[in-house]
Amino acid sequence: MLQPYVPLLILIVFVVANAALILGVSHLFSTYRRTPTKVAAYESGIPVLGDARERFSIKFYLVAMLFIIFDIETVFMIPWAVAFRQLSEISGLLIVEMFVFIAVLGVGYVYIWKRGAFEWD
Amino acid sequence: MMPIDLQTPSGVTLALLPEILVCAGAMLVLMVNAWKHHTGADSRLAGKVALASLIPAAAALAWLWAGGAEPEGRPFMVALDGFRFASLALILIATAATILLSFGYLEREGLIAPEYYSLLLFAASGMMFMAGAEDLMVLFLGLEVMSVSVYVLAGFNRGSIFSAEAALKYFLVGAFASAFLLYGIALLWGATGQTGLSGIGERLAGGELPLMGKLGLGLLLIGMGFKVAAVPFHMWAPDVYDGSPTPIAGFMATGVKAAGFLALVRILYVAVPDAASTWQPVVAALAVASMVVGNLVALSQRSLKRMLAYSSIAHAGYLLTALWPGTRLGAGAVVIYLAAYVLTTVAAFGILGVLGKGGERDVTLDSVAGLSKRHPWLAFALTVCMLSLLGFPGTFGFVGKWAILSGVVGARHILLAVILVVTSLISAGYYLPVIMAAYMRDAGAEDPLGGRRFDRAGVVTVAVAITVILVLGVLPGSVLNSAIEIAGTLVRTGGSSLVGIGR
Repeated sequence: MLQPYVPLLILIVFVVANAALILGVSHLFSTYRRTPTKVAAYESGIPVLGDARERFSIKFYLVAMLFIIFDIETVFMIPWAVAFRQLSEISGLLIVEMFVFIAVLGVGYVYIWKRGAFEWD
Repeated sequence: MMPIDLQTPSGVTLALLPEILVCAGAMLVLMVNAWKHHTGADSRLAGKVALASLIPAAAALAWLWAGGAEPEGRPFMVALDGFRFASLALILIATAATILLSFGYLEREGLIAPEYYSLLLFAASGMMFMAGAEDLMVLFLGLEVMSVSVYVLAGFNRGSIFSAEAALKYFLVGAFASAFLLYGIALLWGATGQTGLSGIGERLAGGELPLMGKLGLGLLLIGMGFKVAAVPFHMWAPDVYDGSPTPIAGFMATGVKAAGFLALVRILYVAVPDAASTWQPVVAALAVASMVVGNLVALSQRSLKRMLAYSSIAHAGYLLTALWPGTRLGAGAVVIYLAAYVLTTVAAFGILGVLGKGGERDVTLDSVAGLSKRHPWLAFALTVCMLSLLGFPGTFGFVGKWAILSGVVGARHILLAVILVVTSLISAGYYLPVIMAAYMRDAGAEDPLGGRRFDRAGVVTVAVAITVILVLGVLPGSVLNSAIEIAGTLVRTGGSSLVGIGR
């Protein structure tokens, strides 16, 4: 019954063994020179300013959230545009569907705009 | 008869007209909010638009139902049968009642919350998609639309930390439950290669459910168990109901629970009817646990809102008992019990909402003491609600419980029926003290309503609900018959009439 899953099992064993091998070998053969800069939170050469665990204004979250929502939703248009030519026999339907989608997106856009989500103060 | 080809875009649009109109209404309310969101009057306006936008949806539903819409050829993505139409009607009623009860509540609590109504409509559309889904993916999308809207609604009273607690708790538990559900769907798909419910049913017809399918079904049941607050997946419910605004707690107890159970009936009865011997023990165990734990813990609650939360857990147990038989009678019992439960709970939460003094957390038995002397009609309505939840003869709740018993006894599971009756008797221990306090105790120095008046929309809603509960409690014949008929569009096996009634 479980016969078809044997390749999956082999794959899992291989992946785990491979990861263990790479990490183990580099652990055994690498050299360690600890310096204060190396154990700091950033290794980019910029001096550490303070703790990262502080309160941020809620506005940042709002902007990030709105960005992600509209960004992800507009990504949906790319597969639509790519598939459009191959589905030419239902192109009328595809256009209507995309306009409905954009209208729904537009309602959300107008809402957050009029609600003042784009104003920083 | 009105055959609709669900494979064509126009056919799907027609079949989904009620859902689409509710979504459009939600967006319309959102546009009203965009310009008008400053005062309480703006909130009321949004509520009125929301209420008005339910009318076209109801009209579309009536048109589909009266026209006898049915799928041409194979069912696809969305169901078209009497069971779906009844589900949508139930959800629309719960939504309309919640909106009507919210006017007075928001005003009293000083919540200027125009988005509230838009979110209510989005949640309602999600419930409608969920309850009418013929495909597990549609079901999941509907569930997410519903859940995300209700998470926000639970935390709408932003000044209250309890409301924030409710929203956070509901969100975390809900996200957890969604993961279970999605994994269950994935495994069922893996076992059958189908996500359509009737497709799964055809693939599994007559055969044994493979191990992967069993796992999938189990995870699906866990996910749905969380959503409908069945023991042992209930621990979020009391805190969430307690912290949420009262009309929203009522909406969760009615709309969310109804959508969950209607979807569950469709999954179990359409996708895996031949695996009944696999899921029946699980459903029975969940039902017994919910009935026993819900009723026993409700006995020790001081706050009426928490008491109603535990009572709603117990009612989840009754509803699980109702769907246990897997027969036409079972589906009919779920419909009729849900109708009774939704009406009663809406009225009960409506009354609870008006009794609260600036935050209703502390509505206890003392708050209703002597209510009959100051507000005789309110006391009467509260009494009818409690009796109907108890399942007292003469109320709609009794008819519902009787339909459940009829189905379970018809399927020869006497033990489950006995446990239902015994736990119902236990529930008298917390429903009756409310009535006793209202009628037999002296009124306190303070008026529980604090000089406020029950606003007109609320009065009308509660009065209509109480009237229907009483009328259908005395004359249940027609509604029982139509429930069995509705169930017949979903399952064709099992008894065609209830014990002692029917044609």
